Amino acid sequence: MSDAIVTVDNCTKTYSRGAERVEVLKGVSLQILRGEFVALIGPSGSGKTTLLNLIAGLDQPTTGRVIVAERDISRMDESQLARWRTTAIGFVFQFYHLIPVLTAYENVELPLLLLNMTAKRRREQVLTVLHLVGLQHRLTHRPGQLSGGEQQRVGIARALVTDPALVVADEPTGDLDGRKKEEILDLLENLQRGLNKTILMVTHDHVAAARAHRLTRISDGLLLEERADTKEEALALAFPDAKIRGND
Amino acid sequence: MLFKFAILVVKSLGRNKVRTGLTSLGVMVLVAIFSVVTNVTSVVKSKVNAQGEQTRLIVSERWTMPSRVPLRYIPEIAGQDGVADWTTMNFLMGFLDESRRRDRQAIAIATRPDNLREMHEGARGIDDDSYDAFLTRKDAALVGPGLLKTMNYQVGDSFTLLAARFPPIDIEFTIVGVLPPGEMSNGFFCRHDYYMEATDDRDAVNCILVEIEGAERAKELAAGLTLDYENRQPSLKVETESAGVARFAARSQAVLQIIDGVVAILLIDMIIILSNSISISVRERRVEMAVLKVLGFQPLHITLMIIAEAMLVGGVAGLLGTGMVCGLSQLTIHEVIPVMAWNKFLLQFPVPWSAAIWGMLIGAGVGLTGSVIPASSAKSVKVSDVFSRIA
Repeated sequence: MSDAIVTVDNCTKTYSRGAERVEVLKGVSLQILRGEFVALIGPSGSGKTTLLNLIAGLDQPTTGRVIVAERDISRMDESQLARWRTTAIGFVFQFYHLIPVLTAYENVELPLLLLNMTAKRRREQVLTVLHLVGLQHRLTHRPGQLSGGEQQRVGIARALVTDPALVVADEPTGDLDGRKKEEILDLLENLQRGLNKTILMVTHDHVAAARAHRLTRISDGLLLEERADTKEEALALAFPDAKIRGND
Repeated sequence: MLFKFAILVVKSLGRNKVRTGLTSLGVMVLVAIFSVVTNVTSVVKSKVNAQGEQTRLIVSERWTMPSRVPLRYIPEIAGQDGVADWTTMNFLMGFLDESRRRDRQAIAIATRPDNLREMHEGARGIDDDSYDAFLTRKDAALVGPGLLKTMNYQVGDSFTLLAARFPPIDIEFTIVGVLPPGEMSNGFFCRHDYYMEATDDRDAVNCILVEIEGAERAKELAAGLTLDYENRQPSLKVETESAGVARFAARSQAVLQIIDGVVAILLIDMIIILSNSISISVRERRVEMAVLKVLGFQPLHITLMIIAEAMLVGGVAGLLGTGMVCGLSQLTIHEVIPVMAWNKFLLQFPVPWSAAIWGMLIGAGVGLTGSVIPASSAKSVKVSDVFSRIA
């Protein structure tokens, strides 16, 4: 059995805008191994979010296959994908996207409502993940009563609560600054280390990218094959401006 | 799990309390109007539809209005085979004070006192003491609660009915009891013997009401009597009470149809109000719908959630709207609140408590209908489109 948790096999994605056809992904192939922390980087409009959507089962490739946790999701219908996502994928959003009328506890509990689970088991699971992200004292707070960093922690707890095979994070620190950004990155890193979670993170930010084990760069719908022996070299290639600042 | 979904639905409604409140209020008022109007029309229609069992004949003069049936006909008619009981009716129209205002107008039925409760539906619930007083006192009047309230009368008071048409004589009455709410709420019963004495109108009555043993016999007798009196002076018209009601209803059919049309418009209005509100809510929550889909919610879950929200708003508003009308109706009947022009009709058409359940069901039905389009729009939210717009 392969140790790859994600296999993207020669995927293309084309959108139609009236008569115009826009090819966003032009034959992308990618493998992510179990327990890896991969950062997907690239400029705006390069196709990274589209690739993330394909891997998370939010969209279908025009051609090619996407296999996640040993299941070919590229031909599943919408209902099958929704069922599959509940347990296979944990999604962390840039803008948290918590349900504003629900408490932190209820937000985290939401995906579990779709699973056949006793109330007691559900409670245990929710409390465990909220403890894991350090929000055990904020159970009854609504998103509006939490800071940005805390909201993102709730978002991460919600992504983890079903114990998914893959955590997908789309710019998870994009709406945070300074210390809060570091805290979220620390948390993701600890989760990856402590729970051996596979994390795929899309980011523009070199600080966030630096925390990943592996960088994958996408440009104009193609994954770039770069000869970098170390992560530092890859970072330098991906964020030349950051390198310049680092040398100052 | 269902309980948790219910909490999610309730909390979703709470996110914009002003909008939810105003939508509920709109539906509540419309359901309240709807229930009052349908209650009135259904009472009228049920009267018409109760024809099959009618065993009562109304005997009136054939060609003249107001009808004048000679009293000498009574022994002949009452002596027919199959006649179980009979009474006479004279209708008096008048004013209760010199202002002669419309709201001081009253109608009275002068009738046989000894079988009042048996022959008049509006007097069936009268208590024994009042009835005994009616039998004992010649100038007795059993007054409807609406009239009592309007004129601020009390049992024991005397009043004068100022003649509005024939006979042109003012008659004084003494109130001996109050009628139950219903058709005679704004009128009163008085004794025929007193009426004759006061007006000296001893020759004729407006009509005779005859109770027959069996509906079949009633039809035979109606046909037979009409034939028998065809060539007498005056000739008579004999028809079952239900036929009389149906004839009256046929005249008011156009009005009932208009009212039905108004009711349909009310329903459409409610659907539009709810649909509009839920559509706005769905549009505001497109991202949230997309997030729910990412978390694994199926399109059906989203659809059900939106429909449940609309049905909950509609159902609760319907229950409250009709409940409010039922409550008002009961408070009016039990004289807790004063009877005025705006609530006087509730005495004639009281809204039963059971209507609240119907109100709730209608509200929920309106919610269901009104949420179909917004729910379908919510379920078809495409996750990648929503998030690409945010990005």
